[in-house]
Amino acid sequence: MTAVRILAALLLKQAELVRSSDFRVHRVVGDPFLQLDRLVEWPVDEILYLELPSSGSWVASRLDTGRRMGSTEVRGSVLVDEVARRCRVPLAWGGGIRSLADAERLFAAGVDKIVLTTAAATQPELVSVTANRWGSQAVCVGIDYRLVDGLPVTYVDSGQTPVRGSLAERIRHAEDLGAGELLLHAIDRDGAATGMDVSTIAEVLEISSLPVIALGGAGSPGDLADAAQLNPGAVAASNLWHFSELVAEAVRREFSRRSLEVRIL
Amino acid sequence: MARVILPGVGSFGAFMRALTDNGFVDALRAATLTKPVLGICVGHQVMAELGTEGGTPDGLGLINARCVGLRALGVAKRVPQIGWRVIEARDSKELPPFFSVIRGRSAFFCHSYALDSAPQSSVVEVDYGVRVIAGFTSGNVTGVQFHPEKSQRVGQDFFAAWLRATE
Repeated sequence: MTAVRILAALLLKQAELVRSSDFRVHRVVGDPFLQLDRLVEWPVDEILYLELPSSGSWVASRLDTGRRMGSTEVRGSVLVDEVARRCRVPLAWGGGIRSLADAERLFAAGVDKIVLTTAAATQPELVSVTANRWGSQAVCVGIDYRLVDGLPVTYVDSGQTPVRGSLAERIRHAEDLGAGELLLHAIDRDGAATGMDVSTIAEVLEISSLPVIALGGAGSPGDLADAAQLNPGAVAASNLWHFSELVAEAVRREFSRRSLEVRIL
Repeated sequence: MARVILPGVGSFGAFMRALTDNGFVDALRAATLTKPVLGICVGHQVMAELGTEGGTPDGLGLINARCVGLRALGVAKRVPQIGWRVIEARDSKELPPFFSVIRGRSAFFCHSYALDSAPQSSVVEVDYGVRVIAGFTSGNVTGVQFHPEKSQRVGQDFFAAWLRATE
């Protein structure tokens, strides 16, 4: 077995780092750069920024970072440029990507991989065009889902709009378009810390031979290890990184305790 | 210009078209005669004679190799390979310092294609069920399949050693 990646998902809303639950409730937990600067010194295997849709507005400024809250401008450059400049681990970016120009902008900044969720359903050609130009490994298709009567129903528009077709059909579609990875995001476990949805993760790994990032529900290192035992490409958590002390080391220890491979530093 | 670095991310065909359309191909071939050249990811792959991603595009032809899909190399695990893997030496030959400093440590890989052979001189590999070429160096030309720029301290150590070795 090869080492499963341990991935930090950082959620941005109006350029502020937030903690999220159920894709609806977002609370600002801090500055996106301060957290990044901690994480890149840790044994975190990859960082994924997800931009959530903005609603409402607020105006404030932070003297410590020279950044206007809610603004993507930071010292004359945009947020993604600054993130990519500081990020010394692999960087993935998703949320609101709707055009080739959007993708181009992110890759030019130094993003390694983009995540297309809504666009994969509403303008699938963007997946294939991106894969042809930057390679499949640079395109991850996001699949957001809820369990309804025990069956996965997939959504777009940040969990607002259900999508027709089964989970298996959406996965096949992503594969046919040339996606190189899947981000499987359990909406009803977002911010719940109730453990990861191992049965749906296992189902997806059965259907697809692509690497899969499992996200949603991890409230402890043990929760991540439960999903890692299925041998997906990566296990991810968001809130866990903000509130636990030395969590990367704790996750690695838990993996080792269960004889799961971790990155040799 | 003292050195040339040819970075990723890209698809072989699109990358070669961009080099060709912008007039870089001859300049790069000429540069390899006098300057250290480092290719990263697709920048390493296009040193081959041809690729199989996006048609069968010609590469720069700097080494006697082809760039083929991981499945064609016998990989049975999930493709693309995305993750941190240990850098291993192919054989007992002495490695240049920029490879020996990262040998036995993990670097980040993110690829669906790889070189099917490499110059016999100095080769490092990665074990992904089958052994896959992770990097080579031959004369002025060095290529790495992994991403040193995304490999934290391991990547920094690699770059520092390569810069020293090519001073």
